[in-house]
Amino acid sequence: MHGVCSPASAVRWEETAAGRQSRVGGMLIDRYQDGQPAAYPTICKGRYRVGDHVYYAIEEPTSLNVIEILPELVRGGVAALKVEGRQRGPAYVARVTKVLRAALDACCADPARFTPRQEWLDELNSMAEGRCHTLGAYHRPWQ
Amino acid sequence: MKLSLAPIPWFWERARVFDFYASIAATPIDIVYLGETVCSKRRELRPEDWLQIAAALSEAGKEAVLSTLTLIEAESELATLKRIVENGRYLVEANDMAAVEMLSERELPFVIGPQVNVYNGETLALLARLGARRWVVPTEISRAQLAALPDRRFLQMQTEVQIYGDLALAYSARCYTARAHNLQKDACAFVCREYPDGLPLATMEDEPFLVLNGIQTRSAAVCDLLADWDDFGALQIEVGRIVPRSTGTARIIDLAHQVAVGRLDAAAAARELAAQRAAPHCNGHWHGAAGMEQVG
Repeated sequence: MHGVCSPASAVRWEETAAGRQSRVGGMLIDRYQDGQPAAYPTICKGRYRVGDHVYYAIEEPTSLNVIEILPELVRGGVAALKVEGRQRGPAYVARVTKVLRAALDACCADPARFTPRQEWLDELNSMAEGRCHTLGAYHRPWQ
Repeated sequence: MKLSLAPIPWFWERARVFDFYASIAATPIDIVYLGETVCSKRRELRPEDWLQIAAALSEAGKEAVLSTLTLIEAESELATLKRIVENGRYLVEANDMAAVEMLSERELPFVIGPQVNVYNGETLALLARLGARRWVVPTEISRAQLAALPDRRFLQMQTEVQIYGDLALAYSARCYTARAHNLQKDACAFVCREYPDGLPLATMEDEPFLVLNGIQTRSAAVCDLLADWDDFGALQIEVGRIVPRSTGTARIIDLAHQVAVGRLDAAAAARELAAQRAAPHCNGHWHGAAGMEQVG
């Protein structure tokens, strides 16, 4: 099937005087300075020029993390959490699953007093795109 | 082979839309798809306005089809969808499965819009049983994939392929035009109205790449399959679709029509179009390559 987003065969990395560059199908997706963590290039999380501005025009490279609203999700009847594992390694899946399991057990044991522990957040942020997380669409009431 | 005009993907002012369709009525287009398919907040035209345009185009001998919203997120949008489905006169292009459901429940014939995921014969046969009479092929399907599908004529279904225009690539719950203006989607101030052909996005190397159109992302390159025209008959393509732009649409229709009636050969039409190119062109998906590429 054509139209698949950012297939690995179309991805290219290059070291240039301007910095480390990532490309998909030849198109420049992002550019990183020394020491800056670089993300797998997906079209929707690239930096582009719109008018006079260069910015993440579609999405910020940040990970969804619902850990702080776990009690609400459980109360709302959510039966399972899905961890995004595409374009991630088994080590990533293992570490994320371990943190979420611990958080979920703590939440189910005592939902009223549940608060996310800082070490969970630190562990997840260390692996997250852009080293930070967001509640995404959950942070505002849906239409 | 017939020619069709896709719904206007852009947010144009009311008067501009009326003027546009008045000019389209004078072109040799056969089928015109009408309505707002991208964002339900765009309400320059009321449902009655679209029906009025449909009536005028029918009067001019065109087949008018009402197109439905692609990404349905709210009850109010379902109410609009129901109104379109129950219009009582015009064929409907279903752009998501909610529309398919409403149409099939009422045993109404319909067109499968290009955003409905149809990639195999089983899905096509299912949709044919539900009432589909025409299939607008998703733009990422290649010639080879289309050729491998079962005979649509046994399903009493016409096949329509986009032959000219930029490509609709993605829909999101978020609005990228509002984002470009640092506005929340809920308070977007309808900024997409400032961009009659969308808001161009380029790479940091200034290569034209995408076009932001509210919640929709489109290709910067214009897909042009006119040079492949002679192949369409063998593939059972009965309708060629053209996507409206703020300028030049009537000229494209005219060229494609001349090819359709045999007054101009496809290669000559393709050359003439190439001479007027303002944007990069592409035909990659059709030829099994990356969509943005130009093959041949």
